[in-house]
Amino acid sequence: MFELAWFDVKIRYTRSILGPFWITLSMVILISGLSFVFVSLFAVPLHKTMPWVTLGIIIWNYISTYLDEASTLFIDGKILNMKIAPMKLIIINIFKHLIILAHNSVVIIAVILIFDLKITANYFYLFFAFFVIILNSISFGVLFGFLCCRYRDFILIIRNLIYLIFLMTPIFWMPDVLKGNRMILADINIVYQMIQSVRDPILGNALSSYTITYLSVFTFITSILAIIIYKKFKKKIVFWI
Amino acid sequence: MSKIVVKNLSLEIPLIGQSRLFQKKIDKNFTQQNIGSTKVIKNKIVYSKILDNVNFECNDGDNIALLGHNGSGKTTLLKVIAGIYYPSSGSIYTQGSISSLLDVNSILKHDCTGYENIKLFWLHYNKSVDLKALVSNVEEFSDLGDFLNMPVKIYSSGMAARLLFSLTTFIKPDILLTDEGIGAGDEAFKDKAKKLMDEYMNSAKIKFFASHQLDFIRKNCQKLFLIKKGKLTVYNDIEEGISYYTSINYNSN
Repeated sequence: MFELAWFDVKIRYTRSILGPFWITLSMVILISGLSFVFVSLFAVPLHKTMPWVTLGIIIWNYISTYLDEASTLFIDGKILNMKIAPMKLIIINIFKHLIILAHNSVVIIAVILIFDLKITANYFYLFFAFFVIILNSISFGVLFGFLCCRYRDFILIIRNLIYLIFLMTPIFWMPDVLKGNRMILADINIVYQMIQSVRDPILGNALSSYTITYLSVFTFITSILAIIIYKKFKKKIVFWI
Repeated sequence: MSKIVVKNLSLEIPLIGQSRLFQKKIDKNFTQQNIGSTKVIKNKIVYSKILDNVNFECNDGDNIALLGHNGSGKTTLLKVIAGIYYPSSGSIYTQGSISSLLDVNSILKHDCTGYENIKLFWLHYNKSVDLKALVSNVEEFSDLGDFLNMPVKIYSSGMAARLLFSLTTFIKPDILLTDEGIGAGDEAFKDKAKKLMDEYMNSAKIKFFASHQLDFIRKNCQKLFLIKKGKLTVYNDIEEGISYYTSINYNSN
């Protein structure tokens, strides 16, 4: 399965000169631009802004591109022509986006080196973050994949929401600048908490018990939901394509 | 030892797609045509009854022809046997390896080179076969030479057929499902392919051919499954089935 995912990533760049470096390059440009705007807007020093924006954007990139692809995963009709479990396609899709994430992590490492961030024991929280993100990727792969295959309107709804969430979530801006509504925009915002679970340990902070509890409960609920949906509809999904 | 036992199998496929999310309008007046299957309505959803109470049993050495009008359910039956569709009711029991790919073309990527597509095919298939053997087999039989290093989209349709043929025939399942025959290239290739084809055919224990070519059926098959609007009749005598298929009775409602 990993090889199939690798194949998918590889063929996307077969005829370009820079190849996979296009993803990383576009990330770097986006991060630089947003950091510049943020420094100018709120006069926060660059060594604080740049790591924050870098981590936020790269994790968000994984979440958004994964969800976008998950919503159209079953529609190409591969399961109509061969016997393949829907779960297998979801796992391939996750591997594919993890490969891209790993590739983009070069930028994170560069930022850690340039701004001389300390590697602390808090890095162990990354195992928790990884676990949460993978489980949620599987769950949302099932939920969005099945939903969008049955009701095609949701593809467009999700695509629009992704853009809105990007602006509304403290991904490239810090929640400290908020004058109100912090609760809605940051505390109960699952995307923010998910990003924080990776960003905080790398920036040298421990995860708050609130974040850990919230993410665990959320992951538990989505997993249960995904298992129910998958069991009920995995035999029916071929009829929806 | 391979075996297929099908008991009281029915398959109903919901006809979604003509209505959008919040707009459920069902046209209840279906025209009864000679092609296609019967339609039924359950819980305000239109279902197409594609297979209707199908019963049969196949054992080693059966060469079976599937014959029927367009939309009678030949391909769907093959897909049920392959495990792509699950039956709505009834049961199916299979023993022996089945070609899980009905359409090899659908997994090939047209931007990739021939070699990459061979690998892709191998990854999708079971990895128990040796990749090197597969590659050399394709090189030998397709005669594509340098073209295997070029993207498949620049292939002529004959060249693509050669690649598909070499790939398909390499993996030899116990239960062989073919839909409308396996395409081959020009005359020179046909001679070469014949030997490979015979070998491929002989290795399978149960063979299904969905076809309209009566000559081919007469030559290769010993059993005939005649399908009419999802209802399947088993003929052990081919000629009897064919004569019914070509008669007026079959085409009338």
